[in-house]
Parts: sequence; structure tokens; C-alpha cells
Amino acid sequence: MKTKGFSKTHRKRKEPIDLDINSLLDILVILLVFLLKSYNPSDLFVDIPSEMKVPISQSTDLGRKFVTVKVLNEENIWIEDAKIDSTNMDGFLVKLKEERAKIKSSEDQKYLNLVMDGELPYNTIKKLMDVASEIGFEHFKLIVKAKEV
Amino acid sequence: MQVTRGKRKAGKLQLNLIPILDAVFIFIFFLLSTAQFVEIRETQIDIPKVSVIEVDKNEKDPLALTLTVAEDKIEIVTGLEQKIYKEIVAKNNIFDMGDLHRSLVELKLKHPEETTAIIIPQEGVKYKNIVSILDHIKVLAPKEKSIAYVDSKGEKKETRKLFYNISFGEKI
Repeated sequence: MKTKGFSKTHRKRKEPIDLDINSLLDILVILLVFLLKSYNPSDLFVDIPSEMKVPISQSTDLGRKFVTVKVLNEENIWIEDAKIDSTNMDGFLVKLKEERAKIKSSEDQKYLNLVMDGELPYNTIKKLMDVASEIGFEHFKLIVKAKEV
Repeated sequence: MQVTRGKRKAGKLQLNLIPILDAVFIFIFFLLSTAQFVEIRETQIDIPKVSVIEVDKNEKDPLALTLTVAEDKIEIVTGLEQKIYKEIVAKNNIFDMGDLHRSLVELKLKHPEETTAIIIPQEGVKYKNIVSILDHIKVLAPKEKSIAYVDSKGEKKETRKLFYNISFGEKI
């Protein structure tokens, strides 16, 4: 009796289960196309504050990872995601120098990524660039949003 | 004929999709980690460097392109004498960027090897306006034809770039 029962179970296991994976494959293909479209080889990742309206540009140049400063207005400034007390200029300079020192390549140390609100007046940008150039930054990469095609 | 048909029916062809699915899953995870849902681009600006350059007396009329940007007008200034080439006045706080671009293309056709421009914005000019001006100075629009020219060495060249070496300057 036992042997009979065992052989029945054994036979049941051997039957192949036919899974219909066509719909799963369809989803995967759609997902692949969508992800391939949004693939970005750039190593620059920026968290843009929700209240910041970064200007849209026709530029096609991909950004690179350098020291990044975000400016919403004169009161809200971030260096590499750390909010800075904008009233303390010395603290701002120290932090900027620290972040610059972390960059190994001396050539890359000359570049500064600037993520700024579109409404920011030029005098604020100028102040920031003057301070940064005193430390040794020579080239400023203005981070913008790509124009949707 | 009948035998062959029977054989085909009996031996149901089954593709082993498991390795392909494994690869697709790995590919999806890789793409998910690199995907950027807000497309970010950059445009470069340099700080002006002061240097002493010997002026080549044989060089006829250098361009020395400067754009003075105020909240209500843009002046395109050229030459060592800093003559106003074109003035674009904002209507209802909006500049005709097409007009600016056409003027710059005209200048590029006259000075095809020139690549530098200086922008002098006034204090209150908004950052988004500066970015918009940069877009129109740096390159030709996708629909425009490339600029063909013969360089100083006599070689035929084509370019889609206008004045892409840009630095901010100050009015002295």
C-alpha cells in the first residue's frame, strides 16, 4: 500500500508545470525600453530641493561629479547636501575647502557644479563665484534641466 | 508526410527562457540604478583671466565679442573700440532670443574661427535669463545648417558651435 502511494506521488511530481510567461516578458520588454531611454552614463547625481526651480536649457553636455553647491536664495545654501549657515562666511569657506580637498585630481579641483534657482539675481551668483574663485575654482558648471524633446 | 506531422506534434518544442530572464532581470536592476528621471545637463562658464596678450597688428579687426545684459536690454558689443553691433530690447520683460541668435550667427559667419565671448550681466538679471542667453550663444539650433568655412591654414571645416568659450566679465 505504501509503495503504491509513493509511486503515485512520484508520478505527479514529474509532470511539467506550464507557466504562461508571455505577459511577464511583455512587461519586462516595456520596462527595458523605458529604462534604456532614461539611462544616463554621467556619474553626477543631484538631489534638487523641491522648492528650487532649476532653469531648462538646450545644452546636451552631461554633468560630471565635482564639488556641488546648491543655492535657492541667499539664506538657503547647500554644499554637497549639507546645509550651510549663510551668515557665517568663514564656515562656508571652510566647508568648501574641505570638499575640494576630497577631490583627488588637481584638474577636477578647478571645477565647481552650481545648482541654482532660476529666479536668483546675478549679484548673488557673482558673490558666490568670487568666493569660490578665491579658493581656486576656475570653471563653473551650471547644472540645468534638459529640454524635453 | 503524416509521420513527420505526427512527430512534430508529439515533440513539443520548448525554449529554455530561464537564462534569458536571469540576464534581463540583472539588466533591469543595472538600468534602475543608473536611471535619472530628471534629466540633468550642464553648461560651462569660466571666470575671466587677466593676461597680457601681444596684439597682432596684421590681424584685421578682432571680434572681441561682449554681451552686456540688463533687465530690459541686451547689447552686442564688438571690436577693440567696443562698438554696439546690435541692441535687443525686451518687450513685456521678454527678449527676442531668435533675434539675438541670428545676430550671433551673422558674427560667426564673419569670424568663423572666433570662439570666445564675454557676458557682462547687471546685478538684477535673473539666472534663468542668463542660461537662456547661453543657450543661444553657444551652439546652432538642431534645425540650422552647419557653418562651413576655410580656416587660417586653408583647410575646409564645418562647425555647429558658435561662441562656446564664455566667461563672465565686469564693466570697467
